[in-house]
Amino acid sequence: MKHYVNFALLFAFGILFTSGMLRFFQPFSLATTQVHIVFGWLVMLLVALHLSSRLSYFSRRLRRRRNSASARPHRLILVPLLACAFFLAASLLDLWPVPQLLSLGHEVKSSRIIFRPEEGAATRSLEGGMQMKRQSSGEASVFVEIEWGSAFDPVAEFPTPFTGARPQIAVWAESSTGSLIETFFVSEESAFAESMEWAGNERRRVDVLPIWRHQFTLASGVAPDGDIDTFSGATPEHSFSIERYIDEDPEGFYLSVEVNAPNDSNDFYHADQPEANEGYTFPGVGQPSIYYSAYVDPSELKKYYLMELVGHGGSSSQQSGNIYYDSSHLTTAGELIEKILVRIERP
Amino acid sequence: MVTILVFLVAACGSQPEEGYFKGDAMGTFYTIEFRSEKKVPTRDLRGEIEELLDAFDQQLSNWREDSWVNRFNAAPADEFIPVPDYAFQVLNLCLELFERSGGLLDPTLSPLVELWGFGTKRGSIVPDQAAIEKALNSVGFDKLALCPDRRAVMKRQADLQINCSAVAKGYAVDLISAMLQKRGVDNFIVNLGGEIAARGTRMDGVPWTVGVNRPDAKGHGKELARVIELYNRSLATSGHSQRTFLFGGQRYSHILNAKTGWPVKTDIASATVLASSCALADGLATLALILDEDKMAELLEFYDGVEVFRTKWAAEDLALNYGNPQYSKNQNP
Repeated sequence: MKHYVNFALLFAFGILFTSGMLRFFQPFSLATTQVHIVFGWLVMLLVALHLSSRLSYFSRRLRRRRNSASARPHRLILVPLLACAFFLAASLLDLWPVPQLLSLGHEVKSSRIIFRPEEGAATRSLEGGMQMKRQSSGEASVFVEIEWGSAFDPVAEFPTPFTGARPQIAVWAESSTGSLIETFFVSEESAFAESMEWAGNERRRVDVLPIWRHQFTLASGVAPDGDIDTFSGATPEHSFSIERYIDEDPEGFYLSVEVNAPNDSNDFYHADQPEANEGYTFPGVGQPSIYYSAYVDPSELKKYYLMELVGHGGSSSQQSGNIYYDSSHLTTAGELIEKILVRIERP
Repeated sequence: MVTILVFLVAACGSQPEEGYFKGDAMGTFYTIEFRSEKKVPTRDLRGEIEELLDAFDQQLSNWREDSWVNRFNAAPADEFIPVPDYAFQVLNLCLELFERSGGLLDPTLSPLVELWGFGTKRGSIVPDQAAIEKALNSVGFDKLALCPDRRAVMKRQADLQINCSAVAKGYAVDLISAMLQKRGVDNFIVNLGGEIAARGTRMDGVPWTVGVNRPDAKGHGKELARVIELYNRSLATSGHSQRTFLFGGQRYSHILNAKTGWPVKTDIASATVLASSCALADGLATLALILDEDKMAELLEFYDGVEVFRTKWAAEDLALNYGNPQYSKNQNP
């Protein structure tokens, strides 16, 4: 039995180590995290089995005489215990070498470009859609409920499970002057890195969600192409939190949703044409992202808003972050969303 | 064991400290990016900067009831009021720009700003001329006496109100910049609502790069008018596009002419100024929207190393006809 445990431990540790390294150095991936969690449990179980088969070793070691050549029992306990206590304290109190160690990982190196929802934001899947809720500290809430249309395939079929071909979605709020207030939700593949494997190709997220990505520049300080460090313009009256808009200030704001489905080329938008063409889109991108918006005026008594299809993010040759209003060449992209309902609740 | 050792060795290597944080201050956003050879904990730095901005706000925010400026605004006439340090510096700069611009950058415009609905109460109606003239009687920085020796200020008219927002954000950026340098941070870029100071370079040795937005009438401009490399300098942009309202088919801007009491009518959509001090750049950027080319050139003779870039409205935006239709362009300075 112990030989089975030893070999199982060897393989399980190998997978745990690899997934741990991927988790540390690569952008977050739910698949990698799931593997890491499952093998973490497995390794714990196997280590428990391994230790239980070595109980006699521990009891022998702890009963060794004082004049023995090997380490004394109290030292055997104390040294590893102190080492563990040191690393535990360093982890909890952010002491050397923890910050230095963490600075080597993707999470710290790329913290500016990683999207993480604010406290009070939550998303959940619904039958045929999704719901996003952002609750403020003053108990006011914004709900965005998206109902998928007939062309939306939440897990688009693709040859391997690692090619990330799911439609990408971003939900955010922006001020009446067009500055990003807060991002509420971004699909996993687009949330953690500028580049991702999407529809079998290495794509930048600005190729997939150009409107949101250009808006995100103000919050992250990183332009999509990385050349611009920051922006200047007429001073926006602005906050990076939706709380001010729904709790305190009856100032209107826009709620925006951008969605892009992979591999949905049509006669106009496809990759088999010169790049300068208006309809050229990168392989796998197909039709451009579609953009829905609603203007929310908290001073109104109105509770419900229906988002409208405003336009699209443009073809691959156009991606400036602007909204393109001519939707005449969109086909299935226009059927990705059935409806988006916004609900504002105040205590 | 080997992995832990490799990590520890790598972690011990001397790496420059890098940081980025963002937040809300003074009614707008701020972002700070820095790189330092010295160890500077981001958490401490952020706390210090927020304390600094809060202290500055306590002196000059017109939105905080307990601020020094609001207490001064409520004070009676003919009584010297002691001025705290930041407010004193800001008032001095305002006074300098007021005198050198012929009174066109005036921090006592509050009654007009409120009348036009660009202040604490929002409106979108053009006031009548009688109300504008009445408000003009309560305006004039020359109705205020600044006493440098006593570090005190006195108003000669009880209803005189100060609002230093034309240079306050720029001055706050200068304060943050000085604080970062004092803490040994030699490479940084600070952005407070579009007023920017940069020192040193980015990690790759290239100067910090700033994109200046091309304004459009809807305020949604995402295209860049220009890209500026900023090395040990400050930059500020003023524009009409963020605070305007439409009335009777005309668009009215929050940039007011202190002489006429009406929003400035101009074909300039935004102005960007580069200078050694962000407060100066901020004040000059506002003036660059008000003054014509000749008067702006005259003003710039007072200052070395200042550059001004002005962006005109696109033809379709200009068609909205900014300003007061009763006043021709020639009547504006």
